[in-house]
Amino acid sequence: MKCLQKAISKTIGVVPSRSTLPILENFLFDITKDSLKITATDLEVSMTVSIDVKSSETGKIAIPAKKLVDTVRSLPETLITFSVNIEDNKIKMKTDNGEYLLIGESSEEFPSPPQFKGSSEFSIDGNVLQKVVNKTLFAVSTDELRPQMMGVFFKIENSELCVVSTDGHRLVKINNKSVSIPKLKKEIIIPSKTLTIVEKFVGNENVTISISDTHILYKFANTVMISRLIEDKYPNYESVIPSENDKKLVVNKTQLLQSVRRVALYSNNITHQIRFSVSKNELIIQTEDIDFGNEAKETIPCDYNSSAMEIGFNSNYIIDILSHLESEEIQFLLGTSTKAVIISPDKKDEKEEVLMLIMPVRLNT
Amino acid sequence: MSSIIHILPEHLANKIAAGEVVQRPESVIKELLENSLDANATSISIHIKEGGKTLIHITDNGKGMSEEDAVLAFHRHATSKISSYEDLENIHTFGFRGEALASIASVSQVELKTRREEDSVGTLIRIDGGKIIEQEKIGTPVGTSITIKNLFYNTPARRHFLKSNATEFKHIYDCVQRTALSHPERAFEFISNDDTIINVEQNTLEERLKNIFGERHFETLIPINEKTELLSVSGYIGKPDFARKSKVDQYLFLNNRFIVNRSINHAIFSGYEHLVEKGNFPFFLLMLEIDPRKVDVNVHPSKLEVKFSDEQNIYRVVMAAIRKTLSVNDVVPSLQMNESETPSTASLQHSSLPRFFSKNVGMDENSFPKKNYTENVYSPIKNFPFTESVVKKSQENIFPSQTTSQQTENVSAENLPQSTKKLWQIHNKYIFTLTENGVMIVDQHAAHERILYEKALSDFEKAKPTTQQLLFSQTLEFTPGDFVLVQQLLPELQLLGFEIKIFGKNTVMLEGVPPDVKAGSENKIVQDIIDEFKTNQNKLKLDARDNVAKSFACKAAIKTGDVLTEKKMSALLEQLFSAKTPSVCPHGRPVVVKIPLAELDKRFMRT
Repeated sequence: MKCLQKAISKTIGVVPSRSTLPILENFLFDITKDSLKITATDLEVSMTVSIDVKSSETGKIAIPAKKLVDTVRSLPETLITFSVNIEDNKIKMKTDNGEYLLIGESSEEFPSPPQFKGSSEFSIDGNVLQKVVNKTLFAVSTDELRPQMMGVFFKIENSELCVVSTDGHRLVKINNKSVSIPKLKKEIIIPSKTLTIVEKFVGNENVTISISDTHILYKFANTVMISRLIEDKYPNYESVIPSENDKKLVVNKTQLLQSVRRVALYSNNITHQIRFSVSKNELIIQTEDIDFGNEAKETIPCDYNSSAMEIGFNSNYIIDILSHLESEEIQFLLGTSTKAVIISPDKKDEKEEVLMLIMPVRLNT
Repeated sequence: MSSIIHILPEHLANKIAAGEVVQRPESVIKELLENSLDANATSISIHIKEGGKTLIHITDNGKGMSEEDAVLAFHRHATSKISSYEDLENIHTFGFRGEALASIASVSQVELKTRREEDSVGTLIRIDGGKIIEQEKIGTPVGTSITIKNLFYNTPARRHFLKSNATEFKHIYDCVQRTALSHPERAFEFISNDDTIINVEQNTLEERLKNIFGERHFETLIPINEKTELLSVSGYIGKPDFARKSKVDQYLFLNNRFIVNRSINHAIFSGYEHLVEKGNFPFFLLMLEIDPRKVDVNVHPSKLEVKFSDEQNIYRVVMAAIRKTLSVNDVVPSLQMNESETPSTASLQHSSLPRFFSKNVGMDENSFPKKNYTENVYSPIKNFPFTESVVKKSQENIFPSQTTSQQTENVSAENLPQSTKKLWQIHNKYIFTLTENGVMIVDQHAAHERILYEKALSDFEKAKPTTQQLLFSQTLEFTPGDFVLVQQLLPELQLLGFEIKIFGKNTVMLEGVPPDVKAGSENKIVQDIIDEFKTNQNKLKLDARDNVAKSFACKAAIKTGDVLTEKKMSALLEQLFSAKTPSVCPHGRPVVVKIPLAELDKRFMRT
């Protein structure tokens, strides 16, 4: 039963909460003699988890997902016996002291998973994958007008993995050299929804990834997930990463993050605007909300190598970026107050190069 | 004699002129009232019979006339009111043409009694069909009393055109009412067929309005008072939700003269910014004061129409005055089943919304124990952590008994800790929240639109735009027509925070957008604004800036269907209620609807 709970709480993540196709609110149970395959799909992503069961019959049925999950979650550790009547789609669940009847749907209604013909296959350490996904996912655009930005860009070349995400206001680029993916050259955009699931459920185990022209397939533990890829051209991110930014500001990340969080409380709650005033040893973070007359100002020490400047940011973007950086000391590479700013760990990591980009808010004051 | 053209005799000329000046009994009343006003009468009594057809009798306590003047007054172009062309340019009196009395006298039987204060005896003059038939000295009070009998007795054609007594009475009533409204400082008495219709003392405008329309009606009005160098606007305007289906209650006075002016009417409606629905008309009584030299009242014999030398600016001032007045007064429509409330609750329902809100927030922040809470209701002011305005409000507007019932109702209805934020988004379209005595529904798109609109307008003024720079600059291509428009609007767009560079033929480069623009929709918004701008331009005659602001607000705002987090919702409401006119979106649709608990109670038949 614990197995079942684990499996269905994974797959429920794929089930769409409100769908025009009611059948998608079901799990497909595919029962063989010794295994149960539970599949959920929203037509973009489909996930199948296999668990070991003992069954006298074989067959398929669609079972209402939410009711099942809620039932299983509220049951104590016990054995559940399912008996399914394929004719009228009735599912009986029996425990030591209870009986539950659910009305399912015919398995034929359930959309069949996409045909997958993988051309390239490689495996990657689950932890590494999880980490890069975590660092990039926050910067993905949610705007459907530019679908290519609604996913994370993965580029595999020369045994290196380059992962990029952007929403047009900020950008994250990670170069990971620790993965060994021989002889593969591939550029894909993975929709953020599947990556959210990956981030949540991938553990220490290795993940095997296969890529076709239109789909990506992940295999980890007892799970197989197939997702559509975003078939579009990813924006030319290299061209927007400035190379001439030579004003270097080094600051303690935790200190800055906490200051920004506090100051941001006083910023306009729609524009979230804050201002950095940088001088040699001092970084002043301040904000004012003219509508409500709120103001805040904090000063923290820093190390800065150029002439003093002022630059405005959306505090949410700064908070997002800072909270996804691991290093304690971080550096800002500044150009002018209207040009992109590079934020990265102060000390280079051999294995993983992290670069975050943020566009400032131009302040005309 | 071979000549067939000859000069008309004066009595015939007067009859012809009478066709212009005296159209119906009401015209007589109007002319005579104006004479009385020009004579500085402080008390005027009007007495009519059969809709003024058989008798019109007006008595005033004005200056009166000498015998000589009294005779002269009935000659055509005889007037005491102007004497030179310069006077005509600078008219302070109501009459000035010197036609009225002559015209009236030519088509009726007139009896005039008048005496000046300095004269010991007065004068009586009787005229029949324009000819003086009697003239003698008599004793009469100071002032003038004039009696018009059998109007149009010698012009049957005109007489046949008169409408029923009731209709003519209505016209006269309107005329007297207007005059009484525009001169609260004078007493009026109006008697028709021995029934006293109006009897008002010398008074203030406020009292005069109450006397004429009733106290209840007065509760629905907002005073307006704006002065500029060009024009001063004062009077009262109706709250939008009390607008009527007809144009009856609209009074426009220019230098105390009742006028009809479509342009100013339009300015007033524009000032309401469609707070009133189409086909409804708000009450207004506006007194405009302007330098007489800037207005020509000599356009039409009845002087109802006037010409301004600077009509555009007058339009603007009036519109701005209305807008400002409405924005400082709360005008949120609240659903109400009937209006038969006591004045105090009525005013409560219309008291300002932001305060309701701030009070609510105040309670949220200081969630006090319930016991403490109910105790405090009885001694509300001391040590109570409400903001000053709220305290003031509870002192002024709410009777203690009412407060208790409302508060207990509130507590028992929810039984929730006060610290829980009460905001729900319904159908990704409306935000639902509790107010102190009911619920409030906010249209999320309209709300954001209002916020952005006001922000855009203030951006234009401050000329200090902020811009979220874009990582990927966007090239936008326009049709040649739109491109010209973009070029035209470039300064406004830049003030809003758009960073746009012209980039070759029909193409621009977008490098930054206002911080409110949702990430990702940058490339679409400029085209959207241009499209909206064009639509607005065809539909409404808007000032280009206003149009840009409206278009921007509409297109950059949260859309219906956008899912909002609790945080976003509360930010939105907070911003909304710090806006100047939170209750209506720039297109004129309502933003907020309040449903008082009482209304719900009624629906559930709990009353």
